[in-house]
Amino acid sequence: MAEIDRETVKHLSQLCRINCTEKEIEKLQVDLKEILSYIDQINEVDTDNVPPCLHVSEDVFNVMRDDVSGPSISRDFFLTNAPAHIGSMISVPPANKAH
Amino acid sequence: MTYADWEPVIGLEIHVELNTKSKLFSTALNHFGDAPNTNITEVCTGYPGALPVLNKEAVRKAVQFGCAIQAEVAKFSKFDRKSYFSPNSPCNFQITQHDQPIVKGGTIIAEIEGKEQSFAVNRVQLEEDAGTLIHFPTYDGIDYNRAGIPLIKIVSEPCIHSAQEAVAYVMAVKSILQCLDVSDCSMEEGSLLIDINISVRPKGVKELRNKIGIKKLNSFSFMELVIKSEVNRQIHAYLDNEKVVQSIYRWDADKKEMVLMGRKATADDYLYFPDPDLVPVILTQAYIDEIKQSLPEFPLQRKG
Amino acid sequence: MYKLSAIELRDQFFRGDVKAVDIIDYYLKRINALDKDVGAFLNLFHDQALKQAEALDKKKASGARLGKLAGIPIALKDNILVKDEIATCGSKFLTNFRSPYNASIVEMVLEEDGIIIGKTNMDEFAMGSSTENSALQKTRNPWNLKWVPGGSSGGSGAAVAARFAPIALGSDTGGSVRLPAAFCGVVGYKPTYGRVSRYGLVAYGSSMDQIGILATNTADVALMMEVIGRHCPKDSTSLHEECQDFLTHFKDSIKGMKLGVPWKFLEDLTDEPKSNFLNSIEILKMLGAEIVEIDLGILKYSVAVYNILASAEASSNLARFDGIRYGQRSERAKTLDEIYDFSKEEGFGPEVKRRIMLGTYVLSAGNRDAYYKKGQKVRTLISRAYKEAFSKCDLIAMPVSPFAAFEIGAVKGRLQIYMEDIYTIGVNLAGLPAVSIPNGLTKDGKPLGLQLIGPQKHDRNLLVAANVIEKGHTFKRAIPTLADKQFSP
Repeated sequence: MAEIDRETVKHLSQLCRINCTEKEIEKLQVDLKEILSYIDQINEVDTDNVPPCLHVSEDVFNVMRDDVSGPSISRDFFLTNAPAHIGSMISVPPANKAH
Repeated sequence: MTYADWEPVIGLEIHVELNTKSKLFSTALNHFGDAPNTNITEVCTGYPGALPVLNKEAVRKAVQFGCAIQAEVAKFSKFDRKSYFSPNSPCNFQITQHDQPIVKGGTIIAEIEGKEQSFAVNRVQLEEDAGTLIHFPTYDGIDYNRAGIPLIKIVSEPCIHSAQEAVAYVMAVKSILQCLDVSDCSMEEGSLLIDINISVRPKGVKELRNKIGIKKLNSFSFMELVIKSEVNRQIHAYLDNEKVVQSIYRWDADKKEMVLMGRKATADDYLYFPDPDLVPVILTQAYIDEIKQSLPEFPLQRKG
Repeated sequence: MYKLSAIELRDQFFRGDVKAVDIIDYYLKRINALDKDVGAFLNLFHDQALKQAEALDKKKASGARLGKLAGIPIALKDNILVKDEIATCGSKFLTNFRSPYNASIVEMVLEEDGIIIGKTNMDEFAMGSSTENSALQKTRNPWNLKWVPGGSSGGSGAAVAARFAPIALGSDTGGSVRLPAAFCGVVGYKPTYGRVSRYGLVAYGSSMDQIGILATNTADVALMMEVIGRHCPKDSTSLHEECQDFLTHFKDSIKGMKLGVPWKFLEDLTDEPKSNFLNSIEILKMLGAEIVEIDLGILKYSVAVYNILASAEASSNLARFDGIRYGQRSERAKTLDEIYDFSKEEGFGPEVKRRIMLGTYVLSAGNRDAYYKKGQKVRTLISRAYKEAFSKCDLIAMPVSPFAAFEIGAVKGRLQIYMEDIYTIGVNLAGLPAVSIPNGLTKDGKPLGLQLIGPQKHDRNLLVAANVIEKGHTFKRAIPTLADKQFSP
């Protein structure tokens, strides 16, 4: 089983963009280790020549719609539902400059 | 070794917005130039509970292009999620085609100084465009009109060896797209944009060296400029025994310069996995043949 | 009135014995009196429901055709979106989030004149089996306020048990409708995957999620299935099945029906859940069913597979909650990066964070083959095992859970947490329809449930059989003491 160390947890937290306190990182390290050691039992299962289950309903494919446009949601609603907007756009602080 | 012993190795990824009436997975209007955030539904703004439904016209246009370049149209293709965080990405993942795209292979025939030259295409995949991030002095504004517009991404093999070839290649692709009427192909409006990967290697050698990526070029003259100067820089670097570090730049059309986005030893982890909200696209030979029969004449492309 | 089933209530309305506003008034009064102890509702649609009821009374007076759900107050789990109303999903992240659209099933319910009375509490983003993971409030089991109501649709389970509404809708990804139904002593139904639209259900494990129905009896569940069990063009995974009549197919006997029981898989069942299940098996035999042994040994891996696949899908589905377009944006965030990092840090509870991290891990480049892909393959084997079992039997009978409701705040080892879902999860992995019907009480008075599982698309056969068993079972529908009165607490 792969090692779940502090660096792994920090890397995961960067990938999924959830900031974690030191205490949280410690707890997550313990929890993830425990969960993964439980999950590792799937290695007992022989899955040679077994296809991955892409869809549980076998006969559903080619679901498409006609190229017809429909109504938009109200822009006012969209903007006022947002934490911050300026004029007709959602606003965020400028992105950090590239290193 | 001298300068003349080196050759450029260029790969191009052309992002083409399809001119469907509605977006790829959302029924919002696909139209350039409208007031910000007026062509949006809950699907293309990443609202919770919203689900994607594939636009059949986008599939048709992608297959038309695939047939026009004598590629293999995949009888089975599917959509995957590519995870990355950006304010103009409503779900913080892009729905794209990772390992089973709708079109594989293909040939672009371009005319260079009166002679026909063939270039190999690796794949053509269907994916959705992101929204627009607009920079203001104290903030960035986000317009989601463009989010979810259907794109085909045309990925070439690294088989282009000069700026002239690159320009000819893109012009040939543009001509096919216009003939088919699948896109406005407007580089100024951003419905056709080019990502370039440039590396160099000694002539006769097969191995590829570190490449520089430049994203979102929107003019032929900039493309030529960038290729020529980057090829020059890289060859001189090797001649001076320096390293070429793998980097990605984006093209700033206003400042007319390359802006460094990042240097990475390892690729980004996009956490690709099949999109569970979408089902496979299974195309019949009859469907593909019907599209082949109805293709217009192309100046250079041969009919299959 | 609280003792009436949904159908009985609707029929009274049809006959003119009671007005819609009186029905809603009555239930609102009950909820106001008794829900302060139970905590089933996060949001009561007091004004909206009365307005809907008034309009319905006018509609009836005009002689217009009335819908199948006319006059029935219905509670919705707070991850099912109602236009212009707040949907919290039990999370701090969404306490101010208003939906711009109705979930497809909400449209269907409204079209049939159902009245939405409020939104119920749940484990945050449907992650949990006890509703203790709600970031907003506690829901207590109406059978005993010290016990959990089960989860993640605990609010809906408690609402039906306490007779705050005769029907509630929830969502079931690994057992989240069936488990609270069992813990709360009501009927809980999960349709075949794709049978009910997911459009407007906030996604958790997209390939497993289904909206489910909780009610006091199987006929009410069937009524609701007649309304929401249909194709939806906005959901690409929706089955191309149109509406079916369920109620007219109800019959009186299951004589000759083969019921498969995976005895070996149930070896670890102990004490009262075991004796209760065995008792039900005897009753099923008495009703004419033939009990057949089936092999579902592979289900021992089902919790592990679920953990991999559901968390992978959830990590992707929850990425959209970033405080940019809706929801709570962190006030201490000064840069764009901080908006992402801090909004999620502050908005998500610990269980949600844990599952997102796990999901990210199993999808990450070096781990995807060993975990995600392997999990997908074992999922295929699980589906095949059920198919194989159904070649020998018509339906499968199993307990819903190895345990009955436990105390709120009880400390549990991780293994026990996994074991809670061991009998329900396989059903979601294989996309099968399943129902939990109350079949007894422990000595302490804790409700227990019997689970019946059918092959894909056999929703009608399943509910027909469940109805026969419900009618023939010695355990009869019971109302928790707390709720067995009109209004006063």
